[in-house]
Amino acid sequence: MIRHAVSAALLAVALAAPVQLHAQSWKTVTSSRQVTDEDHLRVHVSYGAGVLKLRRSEAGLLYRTLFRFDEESAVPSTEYLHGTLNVDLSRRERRSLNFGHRSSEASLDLELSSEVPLDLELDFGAGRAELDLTGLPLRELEVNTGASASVLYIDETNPEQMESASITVGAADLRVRGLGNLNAEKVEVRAGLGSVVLELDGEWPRDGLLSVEMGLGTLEIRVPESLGVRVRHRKTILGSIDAEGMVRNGNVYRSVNWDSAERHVEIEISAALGSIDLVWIN
Amino acid sequence: MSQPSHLGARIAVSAGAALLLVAPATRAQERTIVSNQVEVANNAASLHLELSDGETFAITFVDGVANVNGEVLGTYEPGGSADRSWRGLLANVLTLANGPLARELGQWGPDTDLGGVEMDLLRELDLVLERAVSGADGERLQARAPQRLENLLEVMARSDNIQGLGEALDDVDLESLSIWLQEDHTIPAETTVTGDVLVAGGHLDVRGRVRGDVIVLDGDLTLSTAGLIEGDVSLIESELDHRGGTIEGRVVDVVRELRREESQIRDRIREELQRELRGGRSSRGQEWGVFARVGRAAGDILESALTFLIVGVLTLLLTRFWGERLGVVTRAVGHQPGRSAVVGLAGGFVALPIYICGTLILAISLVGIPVLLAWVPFFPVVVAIGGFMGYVGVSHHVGSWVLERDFPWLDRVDRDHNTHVRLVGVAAMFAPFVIASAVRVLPLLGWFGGLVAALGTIASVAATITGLGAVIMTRGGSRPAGWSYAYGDDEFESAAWSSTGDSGDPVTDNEDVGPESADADDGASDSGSDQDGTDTP
Repeated sequence: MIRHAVSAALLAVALAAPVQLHAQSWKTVTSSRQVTDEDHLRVHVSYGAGVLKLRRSEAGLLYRTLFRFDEESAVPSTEYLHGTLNVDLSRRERRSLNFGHRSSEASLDLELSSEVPLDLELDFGAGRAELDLTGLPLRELEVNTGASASVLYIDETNPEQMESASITVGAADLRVRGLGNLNAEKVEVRAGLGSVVLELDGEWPRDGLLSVEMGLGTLEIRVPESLGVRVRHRKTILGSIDAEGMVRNGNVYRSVNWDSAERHVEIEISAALGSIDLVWIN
Repeated sequence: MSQPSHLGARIAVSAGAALLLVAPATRAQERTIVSNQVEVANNAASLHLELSDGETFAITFVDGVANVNGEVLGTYEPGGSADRSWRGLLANVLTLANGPLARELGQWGPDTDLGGVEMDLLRELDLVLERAVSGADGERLQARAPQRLENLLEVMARSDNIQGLGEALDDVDLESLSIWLQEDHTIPAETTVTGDVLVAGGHLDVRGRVRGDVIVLDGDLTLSTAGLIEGDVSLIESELDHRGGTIEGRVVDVVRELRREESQIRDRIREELQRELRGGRSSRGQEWGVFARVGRAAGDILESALTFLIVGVLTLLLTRFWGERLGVVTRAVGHQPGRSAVVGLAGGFVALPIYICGTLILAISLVGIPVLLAWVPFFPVVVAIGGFMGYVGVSHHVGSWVLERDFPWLDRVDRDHNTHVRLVGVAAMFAPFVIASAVRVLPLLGWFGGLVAALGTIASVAATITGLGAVIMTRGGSRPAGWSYAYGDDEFESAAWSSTGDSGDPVTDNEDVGPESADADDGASDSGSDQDGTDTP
């Protein structure tokens, strides 16, 4: 609620002074819908630029979107029909040279229900993304991000079992926290260029499989000491792997607690060029 | 803004507010706000609600115009008190949904400090929001409609210009028409109204931009310096105060335009009536006045008389110089009219081919070239002379027939004088044309005149063809046709006709001698010879 209050306060200031914002043609659009009889919600978000924030909504709310954008350069859309929500902010034809600057200031706050199972697909391009999946009952997760700095975290165990989760990163920095709370049988991470940090903290309700494909960049996998991991390293051309505290057997690295750990995670790494670090955390 | 706040409306509002105060939660639960959307921009602030019973509300404040579900609720000054109040409400409800949102909307009301037109708008808005969240019937909201209708009827009755309004609205898209009845309205600077604008019984002040036509009925229009009207301005019993703004379309004083058109129609009708009375050609040029018809008939008769004069002179010359040949042709027509007609018809058909072929043959033969110089001009002349000679020959018989009728007004005509007889015949041949011209003077008998003229033309053509045949059969009157062979007196007739003439011809002036002498043997069978009187056997 504090977050809401802060947002409301900021927006109230902005709304109360429309004349001051006249030169930039900023527009704010909010949409929300109540939970009725939905048995699931399929969400597709396509967001071109700016800041994307995702979190769970308050009780009884199926979704809420809050766009803030330059109406001369972008067109928002929030469409809901028969359990499918499409959220989109598409660009208009470029009209000014400072489009990029303006678009980088645009934002989308998306709140999704914690009461309805979700199939979530996020496509977003240049900009920043803060994806708080905490409390969201995710059945499917697919994240595709172009050039951006993205943070994805989940602080509570996903109440829904997920068969697989997919995170694809183009040229960006990605930090994922709480992978153990995704409750996914398999997590696939593909990164083209950039820095990827994967924290395997969380509850891990069951053993899991993590598949990482790296193009060019650095990969850091942060592993709780309580978790038994086995790393299979493939297709390394010029890549190096630093697996301190691991027992190596060819391309396979295994944690020393593998046999005694309650939960085990198999990690398959395919890195073309770059460095791979395995870091132990408490 | 209109003034709908009558006592009844106030009571209704008060009653509705009281009900809301008594059981606001109950009403809110009756209608759940399923979804809502708030849009706030520099020039717009809108709220969209979807309620549990499927009803939707779209309340938009855009460019100085407030709409509810597409219908104009009123106008406001951007950045003014109404705009700020509305935006403040939206800011408060931005993060709310369903119950809290409904409560916030239901409890909202305009600040009592406000006044004037914008206060009226906010009151209307308050009613709309109350209805939206409470689900109350639309009586209070719809109470505005009769008021607007009443205003419209009042303006129409006062302006007495329904026709003008209809004319002004002729090309207007009613879907996009914004209407202000008996109220003043200002389109603020730096705002744009899309669509046509109608103000009836009020003052319209355009300081911004109107992307459409502007119609003012029984009011006045002020166009400020920065004002822009992209369409036409139609004024119906209204005045325009043009203070330097721009009107891209036309400025039409509809009443004056209508009066001008009526005047034009009246002038046109008057002109047509006058033209009809003058007997002149009507607008369609198909009817004629009496005087014009008489004049035209006189002209036609004069034309016929001149033609008759020319033909008569030619007849005199022909009789004078080729009397004998003309006599032979005349008798040939009288004895063998059918044969003459057939021969003449054939001759008429072959004349042109002969002319062309002869010209070609003479042209391609070096020897014939000198002849060609004579052939080309003279052949048509010869044919024409032949046709005319035949025509006169037939006219001789016609003249004889006419004189046999013993018309008293022809007593002075010398029936024994070939020239007189032929002129009478020619006159008789011209009579149909004169009659036709005279008949056309009378109304409704034009067709009869045309019929008589056509018969006259046919008779003249037939006479010419028949006469031409006789000319051909008699080789231009140089020898008698073959009828005499049937009587076995060919040699006698030939000898007689080839002689210098009939010595017993009583025609003293020696106009024509041939026919008279040739009639010595055919007696009563030849009417022409009978009339000659000189050919008594």
